[in-house]
Amino acid sequence: MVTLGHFLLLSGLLMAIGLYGVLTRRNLIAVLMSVEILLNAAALAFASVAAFRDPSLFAGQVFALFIIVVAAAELSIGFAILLNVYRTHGAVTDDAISEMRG
Amino acid sequence: MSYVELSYWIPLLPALGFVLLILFGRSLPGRSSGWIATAVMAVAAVLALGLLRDVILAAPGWNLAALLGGNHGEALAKAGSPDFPFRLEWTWLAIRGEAGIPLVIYIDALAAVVTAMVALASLFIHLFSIGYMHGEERYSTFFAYLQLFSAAMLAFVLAGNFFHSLLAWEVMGLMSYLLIGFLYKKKTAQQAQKKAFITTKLADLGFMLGLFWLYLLIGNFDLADLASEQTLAMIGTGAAAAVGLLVFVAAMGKSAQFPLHVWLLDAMEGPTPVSAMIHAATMVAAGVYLTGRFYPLLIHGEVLWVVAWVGAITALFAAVLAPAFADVKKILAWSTVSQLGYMFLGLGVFGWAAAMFHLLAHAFFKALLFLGSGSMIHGAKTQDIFEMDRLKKYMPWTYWTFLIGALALMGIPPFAGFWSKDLILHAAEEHARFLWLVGLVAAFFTAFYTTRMIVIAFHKPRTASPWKAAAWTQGAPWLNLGPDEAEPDPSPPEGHHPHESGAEMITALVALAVLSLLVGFWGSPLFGYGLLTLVYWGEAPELLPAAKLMGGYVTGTLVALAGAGLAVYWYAADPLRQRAPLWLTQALQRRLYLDEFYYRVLGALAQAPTYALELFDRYVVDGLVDLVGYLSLVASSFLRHLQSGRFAVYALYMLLGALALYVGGVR
Repeated sequence: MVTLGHFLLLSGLLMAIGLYGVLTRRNLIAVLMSVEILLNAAALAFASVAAFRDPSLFAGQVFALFIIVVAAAELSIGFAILLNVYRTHGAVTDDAISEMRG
Repeated sequence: MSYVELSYWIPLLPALGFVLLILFGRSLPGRSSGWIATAVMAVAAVLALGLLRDVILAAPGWNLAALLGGNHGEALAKAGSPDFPFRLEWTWLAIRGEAGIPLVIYIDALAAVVTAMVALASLFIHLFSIGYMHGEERYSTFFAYLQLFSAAMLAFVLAGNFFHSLLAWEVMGLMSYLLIGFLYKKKTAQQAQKKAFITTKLADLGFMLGLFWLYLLIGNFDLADLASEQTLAMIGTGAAAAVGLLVFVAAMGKSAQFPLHVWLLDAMEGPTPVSAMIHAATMVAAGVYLTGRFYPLLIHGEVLWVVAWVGAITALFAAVLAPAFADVKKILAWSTVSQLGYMFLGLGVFGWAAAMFHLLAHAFFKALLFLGSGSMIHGAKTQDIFEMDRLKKYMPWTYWTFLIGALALMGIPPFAGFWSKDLILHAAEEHARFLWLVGLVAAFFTAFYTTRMIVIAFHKPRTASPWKAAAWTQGAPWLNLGPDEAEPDPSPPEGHHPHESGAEMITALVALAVLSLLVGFWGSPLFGYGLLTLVYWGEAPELLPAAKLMGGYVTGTLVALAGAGLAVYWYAADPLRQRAPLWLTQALQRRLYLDEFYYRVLGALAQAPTYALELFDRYVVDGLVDLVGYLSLVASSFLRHLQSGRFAVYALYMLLGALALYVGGVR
């Protein structure tokens, strides 16, 4: 019997993995991938809650769809920034762009 | 249209002249702005004389024989017209049915006489200035200032409401500041204008306090109200004394009475016509006039003796200091202070009419003397009497007119000062014998310094001035003036011959000389006391029979001749022999160290709280401000480490923040 709890647990695990990646990876591409995992965790949570609680309302599904669209847009911008970082710094690690530290 | 109905034009015309000249004066060619101002003043003077004529016609007439016999009940020969004293009223400051403060013009005999005096003197001073100020920068501005000054004085004299007196009084204060500092490029002029303004302003505080206190007591500012019995009954003796003394303090400031006389000598830094204007006919007279107007309070409060003592001390003090000075204008400045002292002495010993008579006479002869000194300075290119070279030979017109003014000042009959000063001394003899003696001694010194001035300037050839080492010309460190900042008067170039002044100046001098000759007769027993029966205090004029006056007249003349004789004896032979011990001369030239005392002691007193406040500001206020800055510095030294530049770290902060919100219960 797969319940809502299992889905949310999976979502939570994905969230933890994504966070870990964002906080620990030095390579910006890896960080972006981790952000994707985060977003997917959120989308999964929305979709599963919607499916289990009240399928007749599409709010959850619509939210998931929104998240996917936003993730796509965010990725395109992120990669554009990354390309520029690579052009200027010759590297895509966060050390390379930590010039703005206090 | 009678002159009374037109009277508001008298102050209004010069005020309009001021507006015209200050706006368009610069674009007027040559001397035209001076001529315009003089023409405006001439119209005002005609109106003022017409007003005086109307007032003389409307005033009650007296039977002289009955007055002299002391029989005041039957002395009224002609009742005054029913609406005398004249009163014009306009609503002013009336808000939503409130009465506000009415704008009142109050014309009694005194106001009419003083108005005519101010207008005439101002007219001749304007005329003189046309020539004297020729070639000065800001020529038209000077005339604009003179115009507004005259307007303020005329408004002050005609004001029937003390609130407007105060307004005009303050305008005069401002204009005196602007005029004394007219040659603002001179450091000394800047110092002098500040000194004059601050000293008089300090005294003006007394006027304001007294006025507002009076308002609390009687609920209006009306001048005529002050003299009524009910009003005086409403005010207690103590309050009357306090208010009277407060107003008298303001009068002391404006009229340069000891110990507030310090500004007047320095005020000689202004151009000479300004000295004639401010120190003869207008501003200094305003103080006497105001005291005269507040007479009921002073009598009611029984504080007239204060006025008398201040006047007597000032008269003597200034007359003693005058002989130690070599600058012709400074001698005249001391003379002014001294003569004003006489007026207050007269007021203080119930010689109200005598004081007003002396005010009138002094205005003319002192304006004449100041303008004469201007002519001398103009011709001789120096202000030092020792450096003036036999001016009698080169400047006959100036000499004779100046001599008339000087004789009037000394009190030699039949000139103006003789009649008026001896009346004051007479009143003093009646009421305060000691002060009468003080007055006589001052009269002796008056004759002495006047004669000394005339002998050295007009008769003796030029010599090196023995007093170039005087405190003032050597720089006065206690006045913040280093020797390099105080400009000594430039000595005339070698071989420079004095020359007579131009036609406008001579005309003004002659006109004032004629007035100085004639105005005395108006109040003399020979011609029936015309002025004293017109301008008097109380129900009926108080006159002394000529026989009783005779002794005083003879005494006054003898004292004056003695002073003059001593000066001639000392200076005609050899003007440069040291007459007084050096320490005495030094002390007199340094004005008995009073200015230094003010500067050091009062200055220090004034600066002590300033110093404390400065420390407070520097350490407490600035400290607080600096503390804020320092705190942010300290905080940033810790917080800067949070900004690592690594966004992964920022993401961690975000996470921590989100967790904190979650734990903190933000749902």
